[in-house]
Amino acid sequence: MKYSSEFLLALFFHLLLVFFFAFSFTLKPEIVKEKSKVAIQAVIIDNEAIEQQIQAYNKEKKQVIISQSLALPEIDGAAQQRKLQEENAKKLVQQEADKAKQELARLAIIEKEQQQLQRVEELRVAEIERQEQIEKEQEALKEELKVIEEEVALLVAKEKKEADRKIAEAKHQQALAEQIEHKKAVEIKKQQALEKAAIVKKKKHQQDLAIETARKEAARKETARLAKIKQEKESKLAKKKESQDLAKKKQRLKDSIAADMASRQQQGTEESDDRTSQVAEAGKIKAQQDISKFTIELQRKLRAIWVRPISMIQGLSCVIRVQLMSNGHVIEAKVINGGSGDTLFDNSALNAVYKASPLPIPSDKALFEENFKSFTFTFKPE
Amino acid sequence: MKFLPPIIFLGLCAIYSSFTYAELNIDITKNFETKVPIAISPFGSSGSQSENISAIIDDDLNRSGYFKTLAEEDMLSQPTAANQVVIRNWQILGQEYLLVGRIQPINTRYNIFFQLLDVSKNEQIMDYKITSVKGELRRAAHQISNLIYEKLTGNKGIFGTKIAFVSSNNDINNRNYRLQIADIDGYHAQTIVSSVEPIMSLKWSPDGNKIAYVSFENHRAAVFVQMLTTGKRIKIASFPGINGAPSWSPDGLKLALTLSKDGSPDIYILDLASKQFTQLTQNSSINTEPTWSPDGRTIIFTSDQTGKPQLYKIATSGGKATRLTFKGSYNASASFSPDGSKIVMVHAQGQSYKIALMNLNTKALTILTTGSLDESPSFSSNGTMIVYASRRGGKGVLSAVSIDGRINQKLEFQNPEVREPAWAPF
Repeated sequence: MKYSSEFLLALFFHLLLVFFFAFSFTLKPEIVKEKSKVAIQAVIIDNEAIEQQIQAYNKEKKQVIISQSLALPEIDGAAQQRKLQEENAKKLVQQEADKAKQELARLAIIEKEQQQLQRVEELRVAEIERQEQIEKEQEALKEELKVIEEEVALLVAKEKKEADRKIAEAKHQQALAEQIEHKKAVEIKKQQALEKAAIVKKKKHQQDLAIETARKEAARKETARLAKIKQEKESKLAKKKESQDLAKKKQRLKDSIAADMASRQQQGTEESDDRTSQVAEAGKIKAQQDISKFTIELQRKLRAIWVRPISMIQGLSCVIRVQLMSNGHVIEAKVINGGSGDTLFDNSALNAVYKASPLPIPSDKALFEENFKSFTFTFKPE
Repeated sequence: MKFLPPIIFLGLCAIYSSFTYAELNIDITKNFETKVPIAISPFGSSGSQSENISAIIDDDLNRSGYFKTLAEEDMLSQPTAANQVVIRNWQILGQEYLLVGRIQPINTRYNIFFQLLDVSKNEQIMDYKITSVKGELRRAAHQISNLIYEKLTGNKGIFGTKIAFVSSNNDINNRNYRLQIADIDGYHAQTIVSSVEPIMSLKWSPDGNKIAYVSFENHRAAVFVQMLTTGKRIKIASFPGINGAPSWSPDGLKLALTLSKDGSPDIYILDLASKQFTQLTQNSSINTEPTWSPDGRTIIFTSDQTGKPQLYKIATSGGKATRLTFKGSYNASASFSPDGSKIVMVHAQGQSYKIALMNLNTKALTILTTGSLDESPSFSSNGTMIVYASRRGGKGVLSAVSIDGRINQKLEFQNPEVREPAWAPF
């Protein structure tokens, strides 16, 4: 059985604690001294009695002295007697004082004895108390150890429980995952089966459709063929009729043309104006595309043909204007703007143009007329 | 009368719009240059001549550096007149031009007919008849080359122009120096002066009839002017010390030269008619190799004022000289281009001496040659080439380089050693 490191650490600290408690009782004797103080206090109460006794005694003594001093002026004649009396009195006082002293000493001894007795008694009590205390503490420690042991046991139990729970959890998870996987596989199989079925279905549908389409197409063709035959027949008839009509019309037109030729000419001008602008609008984009296409073709052809001569002058360039026939043949090419200043260079450019004839040009008549009938080439080193 | 059909109207509109819109322009660019292909069909003849005219023309055009002629064996046909030409035959061979011609001998004279055709355009662009005499056919061929060259390039041709130079033998014990004149293709060489002592600094007079030179005959340097027609010569300077480096004024009436008669070498101007010398430079340094500008106003000369030879410019009327060259530690032996816009010089690059061209407007210096001991540069009469002397394989040879340095060809002479070239004027 395994314990977690945290648990072992906790256990260690608890044991450390127990160890400290076990050691602590050896320091206890200090308490005894404190207890003896209480014993001395009891003696002081007796001192008060002694004080009273001393005070009472001193009072007696005072009275004696006062009586003696009152008798002093009477010492005249009988001085000697008085002296003797005085000496006796003194002796008495001395005796009296000694007696008191002895009494005091006796009392002090008694008191001492009493004190000693009390101290012994107190020590005994303290010892008992200390013993009791130790016993109590040991009891408490035992109790605590017991608690710790219980806690440890509890913890161990808990740990084990947790581990068991985890294993169980993992097992459960795995089981769950397997279950899901299985479900998925089943699902996929199902899906595939469905798809297959769908494909088969679709294929069949397509086949059906193709057959249907073919059938339809054949039908349509047949219809078209029939329609065409019909149309041809009709058109033949129509043409026949038209030509007959046209002949009639022509005759009529001939008659009328002579009459209003001038007005018709006017009308014709307007019509063609309209048509030109329409053509220009529609062909604008295509024209641009064609221009760049033929520009590239012309560049390719002339670049390949041009023999650029050796020249000692740097950065030569010459512009050549070409006039073309509608089939691209060069009618004329000439150097404009005075040329490059190098005859060989200018001639090489001219020759390139003539050699390239016929030039690639657009077949669109309008585009040709507008851009390629006459244009310029600029020949220059790269 | 019928009304105007719409299609004609469309056409009119298109023509109108082509005038109003910006004209289409297409750029054609090419980064490499090619020699212009030209075919010289062998000239026909009804007799026999010592000279093969078409071969001379072929050679001339090839040597120019601008043209590439077609080899005879590659020709599909060899027409001798324009009316025999099948232009397609030359077009498929990629030729730009075609020369056809024939020689017609009449007694001791020859009539030469030739036509130049533009193959691309299929157009005759030249049609000539020139006459020549026996022994002059080579010159006639050069003349034809020059006509073609000028027609096609716009520049005057220099085929058949003359060059003066000094040749010597290799015999150390029996040295012989000869001032010679020959065509630039090495033909028609003739000796003008022969001496056992060196001859140098040849300068053609502007009219091409005289040559000024320095001769060390009698162990002393002297400047001579020699008439080419009569062979007569005049000693024009033989002072003690240096007498050297003559240069003709553009009008041919004066000579600038170097004299050290008054101490250090200085530039003097000699009036040939009055025989008066005028000192142009006056300082303690060496001032030599004067060259007269084509406009006659300035003289460029070599001076070591700064310790190293550099080129300076001074007005022919005198005054202060200004320094022209700053690049490199050696710039000397200047010579003007015919139009006066450029000069050529000997420029030292480390231990080697090369020919360099300076544009006087921009002061930009271009090194044209790759030799190690190139010297004595002078311009061709059309300003496109520079002739100079160099050493190749231990021998002195003459070469011509184009002003952009791209065309460089050795001039062939039969002499073992050739130096001090000077290109004759037209």
